[in-house]
Amino acid sequence: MSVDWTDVYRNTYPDLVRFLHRKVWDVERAQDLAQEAFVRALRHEPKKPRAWLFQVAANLARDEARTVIRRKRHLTLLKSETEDLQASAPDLNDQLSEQERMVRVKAALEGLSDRDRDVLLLWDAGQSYTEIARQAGLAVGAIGTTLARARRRLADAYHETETEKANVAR
Amino acid sequence: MSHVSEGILHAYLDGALDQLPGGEADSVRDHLARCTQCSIQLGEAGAVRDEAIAILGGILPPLDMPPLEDLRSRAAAVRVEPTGTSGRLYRMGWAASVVLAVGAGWMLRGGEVIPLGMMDPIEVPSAPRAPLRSLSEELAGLEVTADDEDLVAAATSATTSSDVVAQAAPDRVREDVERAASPVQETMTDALPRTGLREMTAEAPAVFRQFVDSAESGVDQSGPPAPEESPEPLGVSGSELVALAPAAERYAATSVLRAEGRRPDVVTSARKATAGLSLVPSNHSDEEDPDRHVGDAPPFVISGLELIDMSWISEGVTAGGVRVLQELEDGEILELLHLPEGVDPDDLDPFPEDGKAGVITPRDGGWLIMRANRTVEELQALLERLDGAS
Repeated sequence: MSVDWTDVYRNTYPDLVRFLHRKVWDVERAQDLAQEAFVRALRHEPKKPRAWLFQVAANLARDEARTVIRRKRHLTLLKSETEDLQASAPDLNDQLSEQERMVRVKAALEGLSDRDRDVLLLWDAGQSYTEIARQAGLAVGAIGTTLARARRRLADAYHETETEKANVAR
Repeated sequence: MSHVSEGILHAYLDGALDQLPGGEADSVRDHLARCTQCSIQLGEAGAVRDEAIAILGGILPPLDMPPLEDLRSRAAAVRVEPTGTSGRLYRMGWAASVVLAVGAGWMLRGGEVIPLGMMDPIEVPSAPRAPLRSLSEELAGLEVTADDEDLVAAATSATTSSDVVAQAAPDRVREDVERAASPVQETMTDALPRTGLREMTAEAPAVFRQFVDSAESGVDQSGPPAPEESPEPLGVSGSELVALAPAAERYAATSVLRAEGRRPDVVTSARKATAGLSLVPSNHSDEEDPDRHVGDAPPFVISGLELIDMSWISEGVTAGGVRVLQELEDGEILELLHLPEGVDPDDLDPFPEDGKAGVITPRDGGWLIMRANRTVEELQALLERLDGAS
Protein backbone atom coordinates (compact mmCIF):
# COMPACT_ATOMS: atom_id res chain seq x y z
CA MET A 1 0.00 0.00 0.00
CA SER A 2 1.52 3.31 -1.05
CA VAL A 3 1.78 6.13 1.44
CA ASP A 4 -0.09 9.37 0.86
CA TRP A 5 2.78 11.67 1.78
CA THR A 6 0.73 14.80 1.40
CA ASP A 7 -1.61 13.50 4.05
CA VAL A 8 1.21 12.27 6.27
CA TYR A 9 2.96 15.61 5.96
CA ARG A 10 -0.12 17.64 6.76
CA ASN A 11 -1.05 15.52 9.77
CA THR A 12 2.36 14.73 11.18
CA TYR A 13 4.58 17.75 10.58
CA PRO A 14 2.91 20.01 13.17
CA ASP A 15 3.02 17.24 15.77
CA LEU A 16 6.63 16.55 14.95
CA VAL A 17 7.62 20.20 15.36
CA ARG A 18 5.73 20.34 18.63
CA PHE A 19 7.50 17.21 19.84
CA LEU A 20 10.91 18.44 18.74
CA HIS A 21 10.43 21.89 20.15
CA ARG A 22 10.03 20.42 23.60
CA LYS A 23 13.23 18.52 23.06
CA VAL A 24 15.53 21.16 21.64
CA TRP A 25 13.79 24.34 22.84
CA ASP A 26 14.51 26.24 19.69
CA VAL A 27 11.69 26.78 17.21
CA GLU A 28 13.86 27.09 14.14
CA ARG A 29 15.93 24.10 15.10
CA ALA A 30 12.81 22.05 15.79
CA GLN A 31 11.54 22.87 12.32
CA ASP A 32 14.90 22.08 10.78
CA LEU A 33 14.95 18.70 12.45
CA ALA A 34 11.35 17.96 11.51
CA GLN A 35 12.17 18.76 7.90
CA GLU A 36 15.29 16.64 8.08
CA ALA A 37 13.21 13.74 9.39
CA PHE A 38 10.78 14.17 6.50
CA VAL A 39 13.57 14.38 3.95
CA ARG A 40 14.91 11.09 5.24
CA ALA A 41 11.44 9.58 5.27
CA LEU A 42 10.79 10.65 1.70
CA ARG A 43 14.07 9.13 0.69
CA HIS A 44 13.40 5.82 2.38
CA GLU A 45 9.60 5.62 2.26
CA PRO A 46 9.10 3.60 5.45
CA LYS A 47 6.07 1.39 5.81
CA LYS A 48 4.88 3.11 8.96
CA PRO A 49 5.78 6.71 8.28
CA ARG A 50 4.39 8.36 11.38
CA ALA A 51 6.07 6.03 13.85
CA TRP A 52 9.21 6.11 11.76
CA LEU A 53 9.27 9.90 11.70
CA PHE A 54 8.94 10.17 15.45
CA GLN A 55 11.67 7.61 15.96
CA VAL A 56 14.07 9.43 13.67
CA ALA A 57 13.08 12.78 15.17
CA ALA A 58 13.78 11.49 18.65
CA ASN A 59 17.21 10.33 17.51
CA LEU A 60 17.92 13.65 15.86
CA ALA A 61 16.86 15.49 18.98
CA ARG A 62 19.01 13.28 21.13
CA ASP A 63 22.01 13.92 18.94
CA GLU A 64 21.21 17.58 19.06
CA ALA A 65 21.10 17.57 22.80
CA ARG A 66 24.51 15.97 22.92
CA THR A 67 26.13 18.63 20.85
CA VAL A 68 27.91 20.81 23.30
CA ILE A 69 28.65 23.42 20.71
CA ARG A 70 25.06 23.54 19.67
CA ARG A 71 24.03 23.94 23.25
CA LYS A 72 26.30 26.92 23.68
CA ARG A 73 24.98 28.45 20.51
CA HIS A 74 21.49 27.90 21.80
CA LEU A 75 22.27 29.70 25.01
CA THR A 76 23.63 32.58 23.01
CA LEU A 77 20.51 32.51 20.93
CA LEU A 78 18.30 32.63 23.98
CA LYS A 79 20.28 35.57 25.26
CA SER A 80 19.97 37.44 22.02
CA GLU A 81 16.29 36.60 21.84
CA THR A 82 15.83 38.09 25.26
CA GLU A 83 17.68 41.19 24.16
CA ASP A 84 15.52 41.37 21.07
CA LEU A 85 12.43 41.06 23.17
CA GLN A 86 13.52 43.85 25.40
CA ALA A 87 14.12 45.99 22.35
CA SER A 88 10.67 45.51 20.90
CA ALA A 89 8.31 47.57 22.97
CA PRO A 90 4.77 46.75 21.78
CA ASP A 91 4.48 43.10 22.77
CA LEU A 92 7.12 43.23 25.43
CA ASN A 93 5.02 41.90 28.26
CA ASP A 94 3.45 39.17 26.22
CA GLN A 95 6.74 38.02 24.81
CA LEU A 96 8.58 38.13 28.08
CA SER A 97 5.75 36.22 29.61
CA GLU A 98 5.97 33.63 26.87
CA GLN A 99 9.70 33.36 27.30
CA GLU A 100 9.32 32.98 31.00
CA ARG A 101 6.66 30.34 30.55
CA MET A 102 8.91 28.40 28.22
CA VAL A 103 11.73 28.46 30.72
CA ARG A 104 9.40 27.19 33.42
CA VAL A 105 7.97 24.44 31.28
CA LYS A 106 11.45 23.42 30.27
CA ALA A 107 12.57 23.29 33.88
CA ALA A 108 9.52 21.27 34.84
CA LEU A 109 10.07 18.80 32.02
CA GLU A 110 13.71 18.44 32.86
CA GLY A 111 12.68 17.37 36.34
CA LEU A 112 11.07 14.26 34.91
CA SER A 113 12.89 11.04 34.25
CA ASP A 114 13.89 10.48 30.65
CA ARG A 115 11.28 7.81 30.20
CA ASP A 116 8.44 9.80 31.75
CA ARG A 117 9.37 12.84 29.67
CA ASP A 118 9.56 10.89 26.44
CA VAL A 119 6.22 9.23 27.00
CA LEU A 120 4.61 12.53 27.95
CA LEU A 121 5.99 14.35 24.94
CA LEU A 122 5.01 11.59 22.55
CA TRP A 123 1.51 11.67 23.94
CA ASP A 124 1.49 15.46 23.74
CA ALA A 125 2.46 15.16 20.08
CA GLY A 126 -0.60 13.04 19.42
CA GLN A 127 0.90 9.57 19.40
CA SER A 128 -1.40 6.73 20.37
CA TYR A 129 -0.69 4.49 23.34
CA THR A 130 0.35 1.75 20.96
CA GLU A 131 2.78 4.01 19.14
CA ILE A 132 4.17 5.39 22.38
CA ALA A 133 4.68 1.90 23.75
CA ARG A 134 6.46 0.85 20.63
CA GLN A 135 8.81 3.80 20.60
CA ALA A 136 9.47 3.90 24.33
CA GLY A 137 9.94 0.16 24.58
CA LEU A 138 7.19 -0.19 27.16
CA ALA A 139 4.13 -2.41 27.36
CA VAL A 140 0.96 -0.69 26.20
CA GLY A 141 -0.53 -1.37 29.60
CA ALA A 142 2.22 0.67 31.24
CA ILE A 143 1.62 3.82 29.25
CA GLY A 144 -1.33 5.03 31.32
CA THR A 145 0.58 4.59 34.55
CA THR A 146 3.62 6.33 33.14
CA LEU A 147 1.53 9.20 31.83
CA ALA A 148 -0.29 9.57 35.13
CA ARG A 149 2.99 9.88 36.98
CA ALA A 150 4.54 12.18 34.39
CA ARG A 151 1.56 14.52 34.33
CA ARG A 152 1.43 14.76 38.10
CA ARG A 153 5.14 15.44 38.37
CA LEU A 154 5.04 17.97 35.58
CA ALA A 155 2.27 19.88 37.30
CA ASP A 156 4.04 19.72 40.66
CA ALA A 157 7.34 20.86 39.20
CA TYR A 158 5.69 23.66 37.27
CA HIS A 159 4.03 24.97 40.42
CA GLU A 160 7.31 24.74 42.27
CA THR A 161 8.88 27.11 39.77
CA GLU A 162 5.96 29.45 40.39
CA THR A 163 6.56 29.33 44.13
CA GLU A 164 10.26 29.93 43.67
CA LYS A 165 9.53 32.90 41.48
CA ALA A 166 7.20 34.34 44.11
CA ASN A 167 9.82 33.87 46.80
CA VAL A 168 12.41 35.63 44.69
CA ALA A 169 10.01 38.50 44.05
CA ARG A 170 9.60 39.01 47.78
CA MET B 1 -14.31 -5.78 39.56
CA SER B 2 -11.88 -4.04 41.89
CA HIS B 3 -11.33 -0.31 41.75
CA VAL B 4 -9.72 1.14 38.67
CA SER B 5 -6.02 2.02 38.84
CA GLU B 6 -4.72 5.50 38.15
CA GLY B 7 -3.07 4.34 34.94
CA ILE B 8 -6.35 2.92 33.63
CA LEU B 9 -8.12 6.15 34.59
CA HIS B 10 -5.69 8.13 32.48
CA ALA B 11 -6.06 5.66 29.62
CA TYR B 12 -9.82 6.12 29.90
CA LEU B 13 -9.43 9.90 29.80
CA ASP B 14 -7.13 9.60 26.79
CA GLY B 15 -9.63 7.43 24.97
CA ALA B 16 -7.08 4.62 24.90
CA LEU B 17 -8.94 1.92 26.82
CA ASP B 18 -9.49 -0.10 23.67
CA GLN B 19 -5.76 -0.14 22.98
CA LEU B 20 -5.03 -1.88 26.26
CA PRO B 21 -4.52 -5.62 26.32
CA GLY B 22 -6.97 -7.83 28.18
CA GLY B 23 -10.20 -6.56 26.67
CA GLU B 24 -11.34 -4.96 29.90
CA ALA B 25 -12.53 -1.74 28.35
CA ASP B 26 -16.23 -2.46 28.78
CA SER B 27 -15.95 -3.64 32.35
CA VAL B 28 -13.90 -0.56 33.22
CA ARG B 29 -16.55 1.71 31.74
CA ASP B 30 -19.26 -0.14 33.64
CA HIS B 31 -17.36 0.13 36.88
CA LEU B 32 -16.70 3.83 36.46
CA ALA B 33 -20.40 4.39 35.85
CA ARG B 34 -21.29 2.73 39.16
CA CYS B 35 -18.41 3.37 41.56
CA THR B 36 -18.49 6.68 43.41
CA GLN B 37 -14.94 6.37 44.70
CA CYS B 38 -13.53 5.74 41.24
CA SER B 39 -15.61 8.58 39.85
CA ILE B 40 -13.99 10.95 42.32
CA GLN B 41 -10.56 9.67 41.40
CA LEU B 42 -11.45 10.01 37.75
CA GLY B 43 -12.22 13.68 38.38
CA GLU B 44 -8.87 14.17 40.09
CA ALA B 45 -7.02 12.40 37.30
CA GLY B 46 -8.85 14.55 34.79
CA ALA B 47 -7.74 17.69 36.61
CA VAL B 48 -4.10 16.58 36.52
CA ARG B 49 -4.40 15.69 32.86
CA ASP B 50 -5.97 19.03 32.00
CA GLU B 51 -3.25 20.84 33.87
CA ALA B 52 -0.53 18.99 31.98
CA ILE B 53 -2.26 19.83 28.72
CA ALA B 54 -2.42 23.49 29.72
CA ILE B 55 1.24 23.58 30.73
CA LEU B 56 2.47 21.94 27.56
CA GLY B 57 -0.02 23.76 25.38
CA GLY B 58 1.14 27.10 26.69
CA ILE B 59 4.28 27.00 24.61
CA LEU B 60 3.09 26.05 21.17
CA PRO B 61 5.77 26.82 18.62
CA PRO B 62 4.76 28.87 15.60
CA LEU B 63 4.40 26.67 12.59
CA ASP B 64 6.14 27.26 9.31
CA MET B 65 5.45 24.42 6.90
CA PRO B 66 7.54 24.50 3.78
CA PRO B 67 5.93 23.00 0.69
CA LEU B 68 6.23 19.25 0.60
CA GLU B 69 7.77 19.56 -2.83
CA ASP B 70 10.74 21.39 -1.33
CA LEU B 71 11.39 18.45 0.95
CA ARG B 72 10.96 16.03 -1.95
CA SER B 73 13.62 17.96 -3.84
CA ARG B 74 15.94 17.80 -0.89
CA ALA B 75 15.30 14.08 -0.52
CA ALA B 76 16.11 13.55 -4.18
CA ALA B 77 19.28 15.60 -3.89
CA VAL B 78 20.71 13.77 -0.90
CA ARG B 79 22.21 10.42 -1.62
CA VAL B 80 24.24 7.98 0.39
CA GLU B 81 26.90 6.95 -2.08
CA PRO B 82 29.39 4.32 -1.07
CA THR B 83 32.86 5.26 -2.21
CA GLY B 84 36.37 4.19 -1.44
CA THR B 85 37.54 1.77 1.17
CA SER B 86 39.93 3.56 3.41
CA GLY B 87 39.16 6.49 5.59
CA ARG B 88 39.97 8.43 8.61
CA LEU B 89 38.64 5.79 10.87
CA TYR B 90 41.73 3.77 10.24
CA ARG B 91 44.07 6.71 10.04
CA MET B 92 43.87 7.01 13.76
CA GLY B 93 46.17 4.06 13.70
CA TRP B 94 46.83 0.93 15.49
CA ALA B 95 48.58 2.71 18.28
CA ALA B 96 45.29 3.80 19.73
CA SER B 97 44.84 1.20 22.39
CA VAL B 98 46.49 -2.05 23.19
CA VAL B 99 44.40 -2.31 26.31
CA LEU B 100 41.15 -2.21 24.39
CA ALA B 101 42.50 -4.67 21.90
CA VAL B 102 43.38 -7.05 24.66
CA GLY B 103 40.00 -6.38 26.17
CA ALA B 104 38.44 -7.36 22.92
CA GLY B 105 40.20 -10.65 22.92
CA TRP B 106 39.41 -11.29 26.53
CA MET B 107 35.78 -10.42 26.31
CA LEU B 108 35.33 -12.39 23.15
CA ARG B 109 37.19 -15.36 24.49
CA GLY B 110 34.05 -17.43 24.24
CA GLY B 111 32.55 -15.61 21.33
CA GLU B 112 30.66 -13.69 23.95
CA VAL B 113 28.71 -10.57 23.25
CA ILE B 114 28.23 -8.29 26.20
CA PRO B 115 24.83 -6.72 26.75
CA LEU B 116 25.08 -3.03 27.48
CA GLY B 117 24.87 -2.29 31.13
CA MET B 118 26.72 -5.46 32.02
CA MET B 119 30.09 -3.76 32.06
CA ASP B 120 29.86 -2.39 35.55
CA PRO B 121 32.88 -2.79 37.75
CA ILE B 122 33.19 -5.88 39.83
CA GLU B 123 35.18 -6.61 42.89
CA VAL B 124 38.74 -7.22 41.86
CA PRO B 125 39.93 -10.53 43.23
CA SER B 126 43.34 -10.69 44.76
CA ALA B 127 45.90 -11.84 42.30
CA PRO B 128 48.36 -14.43 43.52
CA ARG B 129 51.62 -12.83 44.51
CA ALA B 130 54.32 -14.27 42.38
CA PRO B 131 57.47 -12.78 41.01
CA LEU B 132 57.11 -11.69 37.47
CA ARG B 133 60.04 -11.82 35.17
CA SER B 134 60.96 -8.83 33.11
CA LEU B 135 58.13 -7.61 30.97
CA SER B 136 60.26 -5.96 28.38
CA GLU B 137 63.72 -4.77 27.73
CA GLU B 138 62.68 -1.33 28.87
CA LEU B 139 61.89 -2.77 32.26
CA ALA B 140 64.81 -5.11 32.52
CA GLY B 141 65.98 -5.56 36.03
CA LEU B 142 62.87 -4.12 37.55
CA GLU B 143 61.23 -6.65 39.83
CA VAL B 144 57.54 -6.38 39.82
CA THR B 145 55.02 -8.14 41.93
CA ALA B 146 51.71 -9.44 40.74
CA ASP B 147 49.94 -6.58 42.48
CA ASP B 148 51.67 -4.21 40.16
CA GLU B 149 51.55 -6.26 37.06
CA ASP B 150 48.35 -4.79 35.71
CA LEU B 151 49.76 -1.35 36.02
CA VAL B 152 53.06 -2.29 34.55
CA ALA B 153 51.48 -4.18 31.73
CA ALA B 154 49.40 -1.19 30.87
CA ALA B 155 52.31 1.15 31.26
CA THR B 156 54.38 -1.09 29.08
CA SER B 157 51.69 -1.27 26.53
CA ALA B 158 51.63 2.49 26.59
CA THR B 159 55.20 2.57 25.49
CA THR B 160 54.71 -0.07 22.88
CA SER B 161 51.45 1.18 21.55
CA SER B 162 52.68 4.69 21.19
CA ASP B 163 56.08 4.40 19.67
CA VAL B 164 56.31 8.12 19.31
CA VAL B 165 56.34 8.53 23.03
CA ALA B 166 58.99 5.92 23.57
CA GLN B 167 61.15 7.31 20.82
CA ALA B 168 60.86 10.83 22.04
CA ALA B 169 61.72 10.18 25.60
CA PRO B 170 62.54 6.61 26.46
CA ASP B 171 64.32 7.57 29.62
CA ARG B 172 61.45 9.58 30.91
CA VAL B 173 58.98 6.90 30.01
CA ARG B 174 61.06 4.39 31.88
CA GLU B 175 61.17 6.74 34.83
CA ASP B 176 57.44 7.09 34.76
CA VAL B 177 56.95 3.39 34.56
CA GLU B 178 59.40 2.73 37.34
CA ARG B 179 57.69 5.26 39.53
CA ALA B 180 54.39 3.71 38.72
CA ALA B 181 55.69 0.29 39.51
CA SER B 182 57.08 1.30 42.87
CA PRO B 183 55.36 -0.25 45.86
CA VAL B 184 51.94 1.20 45.50
CA GLN B 185 48.86 -0.71 46.44
CA GLU B 186 46.89 1.54 44.18
CA THR B 187 47.33 -0.39 41.01
CA MET B 188 46.07 -0.04 37.54
CA THR B 189 42.74 -1.44 38.53
CA ASP B 190 42.12 1.53 40.77
CA ALA B 191 42.70 3.90 37.95
CA LEU B 192 40.44 2.18 35.51
CA PRO B 193 37.05 3.63 34.87
CA ARG B 194 33.76 1.81 35.09
CA THR B 195 34.46 -0.76 32.49
CA GLY B 196 35.08 -4.38 32.12
CA LEU B 197 38.71 -3.41 31.99
CA ARG B 198 38.82 -3.64 35.74
CA GLU B 199 37.64 -7.16 35.52
CA MET B 200 39.88 -7.76 32.60
CA THR B 201 43.06 -6.61 34.21
CA ALA B 202 42.33 -8.56 37.33
CA GLU B 203 41.61 -11.81 35.62
CA ALA B 204 43.72 -11.75 32.55
CA PRO B 205 47.17 -10.45 33.36
CA ALA B 206 48.66 -13.31 31.42
CA VAL B 207 46.82 -12.17 28.37
CA PHE B 208 48.22 -8.72 28.87
CA ARG B 209 51.73 -10.00 29.10
CA GLN B 210 51.31 -12.21 26.09
CA PHE B 211 49.94 -9.36 24.08
CA VAL B 212 52.58 -6.97 25.18
CA ASP B 213 55.30 -9.47 24.40
CA SER B 214 53.94 -10.16 20.96
CA ALA B 215 53.47 -6.50 20.27
CA GLU B 216 57.01 -5.74 21.31
CA SER B 217 58.48 -8.54 19.28
CA GLY B 218 56.54 -7.48 16.28
CA VAL B 219 54.72 -10.77 16.01
CA ASP B 220 51.32 -9.27 15.89
CA GLN B 221 51.33 -6.22 13.73
CA SER B 222 48.28 -7.13 11.80
CA GLY B 223 46.22 -4.20 12.96
CA PRO B 224 45.23 -1.30 10.77
CA PRO B 225 48.11 0.69 9.37
CA ALA B 226 49.91 3.17 11.56
CA PRO B 227 48.81 6.79 11.41
CA GLU B 228 49.98 8.61 8.35
CA GLU B 229 50.36 11.82 10.23
CA SER B 230 52.34 12.37 13.37
CA PRO B 231 50.36 13.24 16.44
CA GLU B 232 50.67 16.51 18.22
CA PRO B 233 54.14 17.59 19.31
CA LEU B 234 55.41 15.13 21.80
CA GLY B 235 55.77 15.54 25.45
CA VAL B 236 57.08 13.42 28.20
CA SER B 237 55.16 14.30 31.29
CA GLY B 238 52.33 12.19 32.56
CA SER B 239 49.76 14.70 31.52
CA GLU B 240 51.11 14.90 28.03
CA LEU B 241 51.08 11.17 27.79
CA VAL B 242 47.41 11.31 28.50
CA ALA B 243 46.85 13.88 25.87
CA LEU B 244 48.78 11.97 23.30
CA ALA B 245 47.14 8.64 23.38
CA PRO B 246 44.00 7.02 24.62
CA ALA B 247 43.23 4.17 26.92
CA ALA B 248 46.40 2.52 28.05
CA GLU B 249 48.53 5.62 28.17
CA ARG B 250 45.84 7.60 29.86
CA TYR B 251 45.32 5.03 32.54
CA ALA B 252 49.03 4.48 32.99
CA ALA B 253 49.68 8.18 33.30
CA THR B 254 46.87 8.49 35.78
CA SER B 255 48.44 5.82 37.86
CA VAL B 256 51.80 7.48 37.57
CA LEU B 257 50.36 10.61 39.06
CA ARG B 258 48.67 8.64 41.77
CA ALA B 259 51.94 6.96 42.55
CA GLU B 260 53.49 10.39 42.85
CA GLY B 261 50.81 11.41 45.27
CA ARG B 262 49.27 13.85 42.86
CA ARG B 263 45.61 14.00 42.21
CA PRO B 264 44.74 12.07 39.08
CA ASP B 265 42.12 14.57 38.14
CA VAL B 266 44.82 17.11 37.44
CA VAL B 267 45.64 15.03 34.41
CA THR B 268 44.88 17.08 31.39
CA SER B 269 43.18 14.84 28.97
CA ALA B 270 42.82 16.78 25.78
CA ARG B 271 40.25 14.32 24.63
CA LYS B 272 38.06 14.79 27.62
CA ALA B 273 38.63 18.35 28.44
CA THR B 274 38.07 19.82 25.07
CA ALA B 275 35.90 17.34 23.34
CA GLY B 276 33.33 16.39 25.88
CA LEU B 277 31.77 13.00 26.02
CA SER B 278 29.20 12.96 23.36
CA LEU B 279 28.12 11.10 20.32
CA VAL B 280 27.56 13.64 17.66
CA PRO B 281 27.00 12.45 14.15
CA SER B 282 27.59 15.03 11.53
CA ASN B 283 24.89 14.90 8.95
CA HIS B 284 26.00 14.91 5.37
CA SER B 285 29.57 15.05 6.46
CA ASP B 286 30.58 13.97 3.00
CA GLU B 287 29.32 17.28 1.76
CA GLU B 288 31.12 19.23 4.44
CA ASP B 289 34.39 17.43 4.03
CA PRO B 290 35.09 16.05 0.59
CA ASP B 291 37.84 13.92 2.04
CA ARG B 292 35.31 12.05 4.07
CA HIS B 293 32.80 9.70 2.56
CA VAL B 294 30.28 7.51 4.22
CA GLY B 295 31.53 4.77 2.00
CA ASP B 296 34.83 4.93 3.83
CA ALA B 297 33.16 3.34 6.76
CA PRO B 298 33.81 -0.25 7.57
CA PRO B 299 30.89 -2.49 6.59
CA PHE B 300 28.63 -2.00 9.56
CA VAL B 301 25.51 -2.36 7.50
CA ILE B 302 23.31 -5.42 7.60
CA SER B 303 22.47 -6.45 4.10
CA GLY B 304 18.81 -6.87 3.36
CA LEU B 305 17.80 -4.10 5.75
CA GLU B 306 17.03 -0.66 4.51
CA LEU B 307 19.77 1.85 5.18
CA ILE B 308 18.29 4.98 6.63
CA ASP B 309 21.37 6.92 7.44
CA MET B 310 25.09 6.60 7.82
CA SER B 311 27.16 9.37 9.24
CA TRP B 312 30.54 10.01 10.71
CA ILE B 313 30.80 11.12 14.26
CA SER B 314 32.67 14.34 14.12
CA GLU B 315 32.88 15.56 17.67
CA GLY B 316 33.67 14.30 21.09
CA VAL B 317 35.89 11.46 22.10
CA THR B 318 34.11 9.27 19.61
CA ALA B 319 35.13 11.40 16.66
CA GLY B 320 35.96 9.14 13.79
CA GLY B 321 33.26 6.66 14.69
CA VAL B 322 30.39 5.74 12.49
CA ARG B 323 26.69 5.77 13.14
CA VAL B 324 24.32 3.75 11.02
CA LEU B 325 20.54 3.61 11.17
CA GLN B 326 18.72 0.78 9.48
CA GLU B 327 15.10 -0.14 9.32
CA LEU B 328 14.19 -3.60 10.53
CA GLU B 329 11.55 -5.64 8.78
CA ASP B 330 8.78 -4.44 11.06
CA GLY B 331 9.72 -0.77 10.77
CA GLU B 332 11.72 -0.55 13.99
CA ILE B 333 14.98 1.32 13.85
CA LEU B 334 18.28 -0.47 14.39
CA GLU B 335 21.10 1.76 15.52
CA LEU B 336 24.69 0.68 14.99
CA LEU B 337 27.56 2.67 16.38
CA HIS B 338 31.15 1.87 15.71
CA LEU B 339 33.38 3.58 18.21
CA PRO B 340 36.95 4.00 17.18
CA GLU B 341 39.95 2.63 18.93
CA GLY B 342 40.69 4.08 22.29
CA VAL B 343 37.15 4.99 23.13
CA ASP B 344 35.92 3.67 26.40
CA PRO B 345 32.22 2.93 25.91
CA ASP B 346 31.55 3.64 29.54
CA ASP B 347 32.85 7.15 29.08
CA LEU B 348 29.89 7.93 26.88
CA ASP B 349 26.75 9.58 28.03
CA PRO B 350 24.31 6.93 29.15
CA PHE B 351 21.88 5.93 26.52
CA PRO B 352 18.33 7.11 27.10
CA GLU B 353 16.14 4.89 29.18
CA ASP B 354 14.01 4.05 26.24
CA GLY B 355 13.66 0.37 26.95
CA LYS B 356 15.83 -0.60 24.03
CA ALA B 357 18.26 -3.42 24.42
CA GLY B 358 21.84 -3.05 23.36
CA VAL B 359 24.83 -5.24 22.81
CA ILE B 360 28.43 -4.24 22.53
CA THR B 361 31.18 -6.21 20.95
CA PRO B 362 34.77 -5.46 20.03
CA ARG B 363 35.14 -4.80 16.34
CA ASP B 364 38.02 -3.67 14.17
CA GLY B 365 40.00 -2.40 17.11
CA GLY B 366 37.05 -0.41 18.40
CA TRP B 367 33.62 -1.24 19.62
CA LEU B 368 30.40 -2.00 17.84
CA ILE B 369 27.21 -1.12 19.65
CA MET B 370 23.84 -2.29 18.40
CA ARG B 371 20.63 -0.94 19.85
CA ALA B 372 17.03 -1.57 18.94
CA ASN B 373 13.70 -2.39 20.41
CA ARG B 374 14.64 -6.04 20.48
CA THR B 375 15.80 -8.62 22.96
CA VAL B 376 19.49 -9.18 23.45
CA GLU B 377 19.14 -12.54 21.76
CA GLU B 378 17.54 -10.94 18.72
CA LEU B 379 20.32 -8.39 18.58
CA GLN B 380 22.84 -11.19 18.69
CA ALA B 381 21.07 -12.76 15.75
CA LEU B 382 21.33 -9.45 13.92
CA LEU B 383 25.00 -9.34 14.78
CA GLU B 384 25.39 -12.75 13.22
CA ARG B 385 23.70 -11.45 10.12
CA LEU B 386 26.17 -8.62 10.05
CA ASP B 387 29.06 -11.01 10.49
CA GLY B 388 27.67 -13.26 7.82
CA ALA B 389 27.55 -10.39 5.40
CA SER B 390 31.08 -9.24 6.10
